[in-house]
Amino acid sequence: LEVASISMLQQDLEMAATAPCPLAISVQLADIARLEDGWLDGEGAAYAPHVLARAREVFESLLSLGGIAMPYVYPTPEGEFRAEWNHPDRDVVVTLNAPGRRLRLLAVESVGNIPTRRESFDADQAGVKMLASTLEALLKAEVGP
Amino acid sequence: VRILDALTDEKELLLRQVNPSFIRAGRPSSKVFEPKAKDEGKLSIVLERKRQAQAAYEFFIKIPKCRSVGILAISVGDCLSEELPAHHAPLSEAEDGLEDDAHGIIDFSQTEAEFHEEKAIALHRAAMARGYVFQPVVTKAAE
Repeated sequence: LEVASISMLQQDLEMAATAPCPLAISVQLADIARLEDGWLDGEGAAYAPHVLARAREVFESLLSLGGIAMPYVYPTPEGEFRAEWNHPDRDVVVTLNAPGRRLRLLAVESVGNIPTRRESFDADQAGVKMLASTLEALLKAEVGP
Repeated sequence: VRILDALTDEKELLLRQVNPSFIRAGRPSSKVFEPKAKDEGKLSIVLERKRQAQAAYEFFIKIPKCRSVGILAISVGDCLSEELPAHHAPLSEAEDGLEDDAHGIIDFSQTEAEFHEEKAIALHRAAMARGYVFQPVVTKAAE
């Protein structure tokens, strides 16, 4: 066995705070699929297979449009899917609601006085395309939108 | 929970446990810093001056159903920058089912719920810049 030092873990955190997620959407959702009832200190329900399948469909559709780095995808106690992107100037979060019908975008600037951006999109083909276009601009831009 | 006066020392550190499900490829989610619906806007933290990080971790994982992969920290100043007061809020066995004099809260309840996510993101950014203040030693199979 090899013991990883705290400094090595700290380096991992620094990398994770700046780089795209190295895991495919299917791998990230497989992790979420393994959650059991009570996964969050006794709260939070397990995700149903059809909900996971819908999330995979939506996120793969979004990423297939190109130009968007791989997000870090997390479960939430509300049964949503939360995708987070690293960017030096802003935090970008997209939440897919539990039925998989709506996508909520939140972009919070870390510098300057640029207001937080909040938008909502249908999780259909047209909505996903509009979201992809918005995300591409937010994740590439060096300054606010 | 007994909520005492607001904390005022901006350098004071507040500790937050990281649930393993909020880690993806080593990156913690900003959800770590967002109160759940049942929390009524009160995010639990540990006052570092009352219980240091390793002891806080060991205390927490002994509570049934509670798991942690480490501890992130924010300061009272980080909270005040987001207009979030922090309080010492000791728990008692009689009222809360757990005795914990090091317990505190960050009070989101004066902020409209639609802004909680945004405030949590700001706290997450501050915590990520500071790095883990404690992680249990991790072992992994040698290649």
